[in-house]
Amino acid sequence: MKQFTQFTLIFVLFAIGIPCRAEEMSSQEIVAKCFTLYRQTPSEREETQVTVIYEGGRTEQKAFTRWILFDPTGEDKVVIKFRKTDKNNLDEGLGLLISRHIGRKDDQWLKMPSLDKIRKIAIADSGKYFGGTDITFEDARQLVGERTQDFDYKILQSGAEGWEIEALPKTGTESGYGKRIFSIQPDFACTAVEYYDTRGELLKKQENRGIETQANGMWRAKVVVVTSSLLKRTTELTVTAREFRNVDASTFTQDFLLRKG
Amino acid sequence: MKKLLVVAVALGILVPLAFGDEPKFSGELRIFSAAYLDDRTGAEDLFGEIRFLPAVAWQTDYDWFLYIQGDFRLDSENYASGVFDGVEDDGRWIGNLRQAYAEYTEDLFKLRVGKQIFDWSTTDTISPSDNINPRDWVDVAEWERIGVPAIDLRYGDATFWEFVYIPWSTPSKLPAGRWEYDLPPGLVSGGIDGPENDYDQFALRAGTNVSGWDLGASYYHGYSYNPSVSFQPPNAINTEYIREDVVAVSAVGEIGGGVMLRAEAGYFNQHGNNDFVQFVIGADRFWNDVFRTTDELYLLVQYTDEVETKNDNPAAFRIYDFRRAFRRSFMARAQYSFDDTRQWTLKLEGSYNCEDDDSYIQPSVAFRRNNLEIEAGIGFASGPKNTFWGEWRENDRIFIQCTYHF
Repeated sequence: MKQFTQFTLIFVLFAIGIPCRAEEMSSQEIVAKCFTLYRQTPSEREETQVTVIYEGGRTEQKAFTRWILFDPTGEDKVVIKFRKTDKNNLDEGLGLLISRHIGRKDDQWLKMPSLDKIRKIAIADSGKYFGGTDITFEDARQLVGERTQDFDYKILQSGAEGWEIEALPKTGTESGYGKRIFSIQPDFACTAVEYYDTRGELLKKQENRGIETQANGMWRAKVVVVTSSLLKRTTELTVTAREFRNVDASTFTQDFLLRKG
Repeated sequence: MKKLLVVAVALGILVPLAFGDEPKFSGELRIFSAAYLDDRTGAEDLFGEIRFLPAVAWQTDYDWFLYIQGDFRLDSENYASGVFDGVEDDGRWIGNLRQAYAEYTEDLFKLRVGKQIFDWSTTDTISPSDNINPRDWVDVAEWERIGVPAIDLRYGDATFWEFVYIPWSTPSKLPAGRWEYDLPPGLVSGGIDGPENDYDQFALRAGTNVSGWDLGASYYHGYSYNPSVSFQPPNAINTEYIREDVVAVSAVGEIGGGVMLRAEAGYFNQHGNNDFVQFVIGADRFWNDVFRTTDELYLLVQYTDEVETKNDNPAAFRIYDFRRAFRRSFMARAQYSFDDTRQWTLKLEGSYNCEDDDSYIQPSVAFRRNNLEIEAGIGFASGPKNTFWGEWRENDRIFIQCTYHF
């Protein structure tokens, strides 16, 4: 009987497999794993078409290229450069360089289209929207890798569809949001994020659509749709090209932001 | 060295053409009009200019990059005449290359050769670190840098060093027409001695980031972009480009609450003119959601002063030196955008000199949508005669500039 019980237990554990282990994971571990899988590449380059749809139907087209350096120690770098489109040339040359740090404030530098110089800008401006989209400076940093040590997490909902996890900034963490809620699939891909202000009002909802998962678990969304309740507009970001090859180190410099073309 | 520069430019142009991707074309068409509010003897009250700035960029798979920007302009005062025929002289050309350079990058190393513009300033308008490019002051309120032929070597990322060699000297374009100086009564112009072309110029710069602060140091050896003015008895004023050595340091960082501090200090050792230490310190901040959602207010306040360390030229006319005219000056810039699309922006900028009691103030409104930008405003200069802005107190004007980007 004892042998039968042991066999049954082992069989059940095998049958349940990963989901069983996932069920036992803490909220922080789930979010950490979500972003660990997201970061399974040393660097990345992606071209994105942006459509901003305003209340009333007016639309604006934009385009940018984003380069990301995923540093194993967390000293990530992100570069965003806007390109011209058929209908919008005013944003061409707008650029942002983010240098993330462990244990101290990140650095960010902005290149305005009208200036041939880079300006270092304050990190305290995190909640500011970037390039007339619904993506803030803070989003541009956090979405390449959540700093899980800076937030308190709580599982709000758990089931076959995955988890809903609340993230609250810890005391001392500078954030433009009072709360975020992640929707994470059982394979740890993030399908949605809700952003709330400090009074608990919903600011915007981000949906990650067309998620593709690679053999090593690395996931990417083909389309990101951010619907802003506050601004009554929607930003659709469609990735038209994505490469995971090594990006040249010179890309993550202020000098690269200044480069024309 | 100069032959090497010519060969490098030729190679830089040929390689991208032979192996490059499809060239990317872009550019601007600008129309600028101004109506002056005061009469000035012998000067027109209306001014108009049309300027076309086409650009082409090639990128190769072999780390080569080529950029050429043309500059074509016509104006009602005929400030521009002639076309590009080498290193720039002291007049504007109707047809010119604003920038034309080839660039090679390998990892964190960059070599750029050709006519280029360097902006090493971290502060606004006045910068002791920014000495390489001459200036176009034909219309003082709309000043800009002029490209110079140079070899630029740079290595690094947040921590970097940079060396720039400038084989030929290029004079600045001095105020013209309504912006030309009135000489003090009884004095006549003794002419302008331009920079000599057999004098090698170079600049060095290094920078790093320490605990969130961008720190920099630079050294410049060459001609001053601002000509020196001196009294030549019995009654002449001589204008001469003189050599100088400038050592400068800079610091930029956040001092809390989203306020950025930008500061520079530089020691100017001028050969045959006064030496001085200039410092500039400024703070700026953005505020969002001030009156409505996603609106943005930007405010910058900056103070400039200097200490003269050696007086070689007692009769120096400091107000004719664009760098030193802002001694004991406050400068401020404010911008308010109604939302994050920046379709409408109100702007206000100005400077006030506490020593000379002269000032300039320019409110304007800017509109942008799709490929079009329009800015309209009023510029007011005031102050006693023989002060920097007081010289142009009859140049109050209404202006409008339309820029089409393609």
